Amino acid sequence: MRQKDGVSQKARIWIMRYVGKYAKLILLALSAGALCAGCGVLGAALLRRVIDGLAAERLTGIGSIFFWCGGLLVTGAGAAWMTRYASGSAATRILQEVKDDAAAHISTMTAEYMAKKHSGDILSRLTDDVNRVSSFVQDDLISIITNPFLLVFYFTYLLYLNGSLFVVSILPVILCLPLGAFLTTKFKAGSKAYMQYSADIISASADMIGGMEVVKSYCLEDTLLEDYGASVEKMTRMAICNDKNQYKGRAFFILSGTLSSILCLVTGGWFCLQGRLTIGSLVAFFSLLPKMVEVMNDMAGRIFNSKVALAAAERIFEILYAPSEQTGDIESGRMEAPAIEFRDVSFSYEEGTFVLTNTSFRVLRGETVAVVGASGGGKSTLLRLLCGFYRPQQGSILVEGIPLADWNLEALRSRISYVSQHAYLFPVSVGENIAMGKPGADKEEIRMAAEAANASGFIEKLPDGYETPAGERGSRLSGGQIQRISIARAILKDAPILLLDEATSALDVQAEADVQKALDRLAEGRTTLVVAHRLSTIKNADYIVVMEHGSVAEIGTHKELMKHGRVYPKLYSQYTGSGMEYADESGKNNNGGA
Amino acid sequence: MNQEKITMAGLEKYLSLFEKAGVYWVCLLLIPIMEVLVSAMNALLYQRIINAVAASDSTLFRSALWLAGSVLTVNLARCIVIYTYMYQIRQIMKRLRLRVMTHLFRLPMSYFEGHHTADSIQKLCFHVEDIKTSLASRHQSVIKPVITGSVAIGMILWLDVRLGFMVLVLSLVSVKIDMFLSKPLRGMALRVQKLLTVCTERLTDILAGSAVIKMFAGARVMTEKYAAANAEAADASVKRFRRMSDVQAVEWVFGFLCNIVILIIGVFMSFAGMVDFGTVVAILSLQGMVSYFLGNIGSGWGCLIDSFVLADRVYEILEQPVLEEQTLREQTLREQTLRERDGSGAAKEEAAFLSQKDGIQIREAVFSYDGCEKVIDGINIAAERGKMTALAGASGGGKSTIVKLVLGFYRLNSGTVSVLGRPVSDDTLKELRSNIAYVPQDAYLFHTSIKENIRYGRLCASDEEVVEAAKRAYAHDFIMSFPSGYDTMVGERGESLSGGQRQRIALARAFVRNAPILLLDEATSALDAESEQLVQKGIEALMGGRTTLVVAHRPSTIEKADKIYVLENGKVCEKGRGAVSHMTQP
Repeated sequence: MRQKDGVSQKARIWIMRYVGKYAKLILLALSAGALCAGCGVLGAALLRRVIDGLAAERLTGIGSIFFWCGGLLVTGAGAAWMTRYASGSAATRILQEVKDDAAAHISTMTAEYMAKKHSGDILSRLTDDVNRVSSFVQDDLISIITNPFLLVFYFTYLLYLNGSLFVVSILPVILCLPLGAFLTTKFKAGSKAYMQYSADIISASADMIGGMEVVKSYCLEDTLLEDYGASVEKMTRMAICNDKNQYKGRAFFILSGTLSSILCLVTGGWFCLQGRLTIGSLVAFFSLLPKMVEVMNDMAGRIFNSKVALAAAERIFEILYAPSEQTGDIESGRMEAPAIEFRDVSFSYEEGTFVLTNTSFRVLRGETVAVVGASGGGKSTLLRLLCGFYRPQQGSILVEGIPLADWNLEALRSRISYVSQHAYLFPVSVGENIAMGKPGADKEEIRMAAEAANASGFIEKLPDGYETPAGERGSRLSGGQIQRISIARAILKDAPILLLDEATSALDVQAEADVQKALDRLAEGRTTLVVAHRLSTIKNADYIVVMEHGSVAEIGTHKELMKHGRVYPKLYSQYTGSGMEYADESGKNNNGGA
Repeated sequence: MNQEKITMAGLEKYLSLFEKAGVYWVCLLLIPIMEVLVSAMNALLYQRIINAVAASDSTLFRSALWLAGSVLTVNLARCIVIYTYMYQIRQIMKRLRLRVMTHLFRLPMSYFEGHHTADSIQKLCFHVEDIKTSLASRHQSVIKPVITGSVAIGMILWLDVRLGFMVLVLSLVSVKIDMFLSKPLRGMALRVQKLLTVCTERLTDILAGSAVIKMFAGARVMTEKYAAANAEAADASVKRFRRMSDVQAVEWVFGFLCNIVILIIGVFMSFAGMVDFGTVVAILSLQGMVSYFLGNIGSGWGCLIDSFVLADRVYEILEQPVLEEQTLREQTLREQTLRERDGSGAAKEEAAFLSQKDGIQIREAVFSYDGCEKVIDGINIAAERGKMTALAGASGGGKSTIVKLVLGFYRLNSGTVSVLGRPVSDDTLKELRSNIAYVPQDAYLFHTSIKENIRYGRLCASDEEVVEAAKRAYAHDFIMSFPSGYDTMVGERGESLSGGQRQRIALARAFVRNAPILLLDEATSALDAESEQLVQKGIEALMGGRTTLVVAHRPSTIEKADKIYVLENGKVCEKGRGAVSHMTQP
């Protein structure tokens, strides 16, 4: 609970910061709103003057009445225009900045946080919740700020007209306010739960849409639809429960408003009959009272909305407050130190199950080291740790002699080219995707990189060549093509350390051979750590790190390990047995498999 | 944007978005009617009391008190109607959500390839959610001013025709100007919506590629692109606010003018004894409602337009043709052409082809995704029952497309695909797919437990069968090593598992399906040597007696195939056994 309040507190500070930036616009909206309120009271005063003058049969100063009317007309119109425009544009601009900041923050968030949060959840916070806040700021915020002005104007004028009539008329409304406030609190808790649940449903829907191929081929439509129906049913029940709280509050306000206007008329009429009030005053009083009650009820309704908006804002600010990656300030390494060194590193993604335990090995500058082992053995994790995506729980990792924690992350990452198992392309053009390796790269450089990755051939055959859009998750390109584009990106980056994760796995035999050559070329003169599945890679490595159950089982060259190794020979026989040794045994393939 | 058109053709379509909404519409009408009834009775109460006061008549004053009682009663009834109304909205929303999702599931695969996932999610979740705002407030903003306005005008006319007529004329002029000013608002709303969708798409990209953004400084372009889209949307939104402010100001002027003009004229008429003073103040109190009508009919119109825009976006899904609708006609057409060919000289060839109609048959298949570039260009493939057929060849050659065609994800431009002797057509899809176990290139896991993910292969499978399948896919051991075993939740897209583990769960799913036909798309690509070998054995066990079509990249897979087709540029360039020997040379 305390932590939640912390977020609320922080959210308020942030809101003030954004609001402060547009203070002028907001002040303008505020003063225009106050002006509008003033115009309303002046109109009522004018009304009283005319009616009382008429009742006394001595209406004077018709000219000044017309003058006031004209003034009110122009001022009121201007103020109405300004209130709307200033509040609308201030709200839009503030939310634009919040969204920008949140989007920029996403790329500095820790991988742990990203892994915990479903991307649909983040998406829902930055679209759905932003919309909630935006509609609140546009419609409600200005009223919440200007309404107190209105109330002060109305209160003063009505009290001035007749104090006792004011007290009688306002009593039912005053009595209902605490009740409304109580229901509001209940409503807030309910609507936050509802929002979380609908975000979960969005995540589930995103899952289904993303996996449509599997859904269709396994005929899962009906089952998943049933599940979805059940979720929607639950969501509806939650919403109805919320509605009840909101509704009870609303009913109170309606009844109190009615009671107040009836009391005003009956009591006011009685006062007039007794001669304690003039007709003009009663008319002016009654012309303002409903407006005042409306403002008070409106306030209550808007406070409901503000609770929803605050809950939504908290969810947005949770993103802005998501932990950023910690970064040190050292920006260059020591040349003489080993390029990569793991010292007794232990790491777990989730508490309890260690993926790596006491892993130690080093890679000297310019060496190529292959990591082999069973799947789930923590090989890919090594590379993710090196990129600084995660921090080890124990031990230390040194890159060029500097512990990872001391490195400036940006400087560290600029020294690493990482080709992951799952190549990701942005839905911009192929050329732009490659150019991301080196900001400001010219066309020739991009083409050279593509050529080095054996990608230029197929790219040039694409309808628009390098300008062809890559599509969502590279949907129009084959796995091998995506891989090669991502390799071209890494080649263009030209970093001294190369991390490869099964980079060639999705390629067919021909392309794989080509890419292998490109990678060999790329690895030349660079420090390379490769999670290897291919014999050719392993054989070309300076030495091999064999991983087993999250720790280093043995280290050595291919020959050494074959001779003295415990795990490696077994692994090796599996490699050759599964036919991966195509380079040496292609002849066998022709007559195999009867 | 033609406004007349919207009201005529669009309204009917719009109303059909909400099913079984009768009670809702009744409540929607009842709420303002009751509200206006309360106001009318209030006005009468006001008139009586002022007249009583002016005449100093206490009997007239007491007779007005029964009106006060009825005002309270009607208000109580109003509260009940409001509750029913809120309840109905939730029910309508529930039906609408289900309807959109149901429709989405019936769309052909080509829809999902052609549309960004974010776009579908935006429509399914956010736009549908927004329609709730239409139901809860936008419709009110349209109906309420109309009803309260017309009743108020009726009352005013009844109280005094001369004053009433003047109010009416002023109202009409105001509405006309309002409509004129609000005209461009719809287009503006549409534009803002479109731009916001672009923002969402960009955001999805950033989320999906956050690791790339971290590693490549150049990829920060994506954040800048988001900011640009965001700025554009904000600009459009501010522009819309400007126009809305214009409308607001004009409304204010007319509301005020109306008030003042009526007051002054009424005052002079009462001075001349043409009307009693209570009537003038009653008209003035009702005039507030006419002002409300004038002040809100414009924004109400804007709200209606917003609702229509939203409905249009949801209809972009609902109006996508579903599979079943197009099928029957095409099916009969295809059969006709087949029969015609039977009669011709090609009959013999036909018979020869049909004689081996077991397994999978692809004949003269031509297919392109976009209608111009042929991905599949006149391919003939026959996968015999119980045998293993491999598709090999360079990437981009159309291998994966063939698998998708067999699954019926796309329609051929010409030619036929038949499975187990039955042609693949839209109305046999369900039956067809129930005979196929498909392991896609990218092992897709759903955000649920491992057990459920495997069970998706065959929903009625028992826990024992799930475990058995996992064992056969060599997934049991690593699953049991998790603290919660089979109940372990896989992360989004299975990201908390390694590639090999994901792949093996996907395989277990195929095992549990136990279908006569097995489609593997590079199924073993992400496995390391050890698990690849294990899975390979499992697949071999699974293949026993089943027709298998494999998109193969490994010599080991190709080696074991009974028949191999080598594809190049959408054509079969070689076939037979051992045909790919040269391919294995690096």
